[in-house]
Amino acid sequence: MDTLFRDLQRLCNADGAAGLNDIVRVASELLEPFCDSIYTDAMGNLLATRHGNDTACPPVMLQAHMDEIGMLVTHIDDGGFVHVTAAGGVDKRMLATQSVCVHGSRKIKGVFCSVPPHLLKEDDKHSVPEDNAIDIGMEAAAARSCIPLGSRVTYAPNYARLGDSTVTSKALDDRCGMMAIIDCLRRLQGVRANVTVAFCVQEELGCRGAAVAARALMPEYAFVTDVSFALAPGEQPRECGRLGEGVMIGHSPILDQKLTDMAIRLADKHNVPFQHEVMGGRTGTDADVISNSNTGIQTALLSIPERYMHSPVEVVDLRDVAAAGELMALCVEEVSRIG
Amino acid sequence: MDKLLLKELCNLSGVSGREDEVRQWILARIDALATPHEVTVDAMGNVILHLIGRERPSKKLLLDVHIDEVGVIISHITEDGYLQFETVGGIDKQSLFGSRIRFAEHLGVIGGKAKHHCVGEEQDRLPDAQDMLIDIGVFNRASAEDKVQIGQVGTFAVAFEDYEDTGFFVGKAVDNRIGCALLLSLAQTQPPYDIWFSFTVQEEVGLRGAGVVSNVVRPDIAIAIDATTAQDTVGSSDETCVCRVGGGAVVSFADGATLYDSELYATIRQIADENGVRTQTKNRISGGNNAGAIQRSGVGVRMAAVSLPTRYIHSSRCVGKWEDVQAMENLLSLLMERLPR
Repeated sequence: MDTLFRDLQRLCNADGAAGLNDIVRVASELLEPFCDSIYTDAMGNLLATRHGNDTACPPVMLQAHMDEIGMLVTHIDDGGFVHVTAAGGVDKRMLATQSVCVHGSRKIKGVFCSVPPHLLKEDDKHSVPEDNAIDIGMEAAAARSCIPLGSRVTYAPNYARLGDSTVTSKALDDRCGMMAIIDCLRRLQGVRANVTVAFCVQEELGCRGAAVAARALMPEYAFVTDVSFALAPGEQPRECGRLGEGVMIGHSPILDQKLTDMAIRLADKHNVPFQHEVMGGRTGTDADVISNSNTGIQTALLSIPERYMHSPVEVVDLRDVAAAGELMALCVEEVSRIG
Repeated sequence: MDKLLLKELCNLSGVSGREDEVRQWILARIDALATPHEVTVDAMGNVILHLIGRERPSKKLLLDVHIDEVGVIISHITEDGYLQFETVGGIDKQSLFGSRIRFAEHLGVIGGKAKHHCVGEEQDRLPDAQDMLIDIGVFNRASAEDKVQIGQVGTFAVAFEDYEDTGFFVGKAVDNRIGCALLLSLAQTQPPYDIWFSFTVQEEVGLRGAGVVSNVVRPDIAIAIDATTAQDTVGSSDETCVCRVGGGAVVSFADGATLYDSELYATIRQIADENGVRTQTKNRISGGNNAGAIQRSGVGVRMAAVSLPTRYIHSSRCVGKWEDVQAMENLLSLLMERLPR
């Protein structure tokens, strides 16, 4: 669990809004012990092939998305404040006084503006400003000289232990999925299989990278791992899994029934903690675009329950990450055995 | 001023009524002073430092700062191990949602319903503070009680930082650790006349410590040193900004709690001008500080206020500028020498 905690810290603290390479570097380093031919494609997806693959086995792709919720700089006003537009589902309610990094010609720290209670009118106390901006402590000319329009903005790295088994950070969505895949590769050492890894870009912008990766790797099977909703204050139990109660096995018309059933059977047999996640159609993850790629790919979705999705204080339980890694390894071993 | 003073002070926890950590830190610094002084701590926890000057003045001057900060206090622990809380002082509620709160060595976060599940105007509306819960990553009440207890206070979990080479800094509790840092810095030099410095409790819950201090010291003149709102941020104009970061020390003629002594106000600004110290005033009557309690104490006190223009006051991240800190220190140092005594 200590390795998991430390490796996940490196993944979460890496900057990875669309177009930022920090996460590619960190992920490559973590893949290195298990993979060769690690490369990025034209879109920026990070693809890798496991060491010692047995090509007689059916090709399996392990997939997670690498990008995080971010913003793009659209305007720097005459006061030097940096205005942004969301790239992905930013939760506007949480922007005031958040610490961010503006990735201009160099990395610049900043704070989202807020209005103190002394100056707020009663009617405004619950309203979220339509056009908030970032205070970087610079005059307009200085800011404009080092921040080209289109520069990426990410939440400042803030990974930390919360409870005994839980952690909080920005970008746990979907760095904890990447972590589960790396954990799976560790468990698959010496196991006969034919495995590739795809860490994809632009999921938060509408699952744009994953189909491209699937076309390059041409797998028969895909195991996709992403976060899903965990019960939290304000959430409805029927819409959520529960934190700490295991990997969420996805049931959906777009997922492969046999693969889903196999995952449940293996989790039962090996006492991997799991819970069911039932979706009536699309899953809102890269599985949606992978399963109907190429000539069709048998796809399962193994999700990690997460509280406060798309916030700078997302929370996951490391035991659920480990359960996802373990179940994924069991599934890979099984499909490789039966061929 | 040694920048480390402000950094270390801001990182301490000192929510109103639970200022022990800050008080102990300040007392340790006072203990190490080489300048002649006497120090007392009253029943409320106010620290009063009497610096012995080279001469005895005919009028007593008190410089006051408060040591407390806004925060939260745990009011209930749910069966699932979430913490219900009340806010302490006028905390910036916009900065609560999505923030991290520290209870001693334990961390908590305040989240809520994911954006994906918000319907209609929920997406653009902040939840009420009383509907927010703090998540400390446990799963039941018993595990929560191993870490925290009802009545325990929490502060924003934010570490002080310099903003690279911009001259700006950001941290929690700049209101009013800046005052504490300034007085501790000024106390390192023996003043020309005896002077009293007070480090007071419970300002953020209604200026409750300062009146007691004033009854003990019985000053003729007092200056409240504090942080004040600078709203020179996005969408602001000269008319609405209150004051500006980088505009120099703020000398107020009035705020929400006090109409300041007009002669003293004029004298202070004149002394600043004559000595090339940048000052500004507030162009909106808002906020308030310990001056409101001190001015009306005893038989009345001639009152002034010198403040640091500070953005996002009462939030997790207050932003200020070192050049304003320097202006305040220069001004206060001049006033200790030049105010008619």
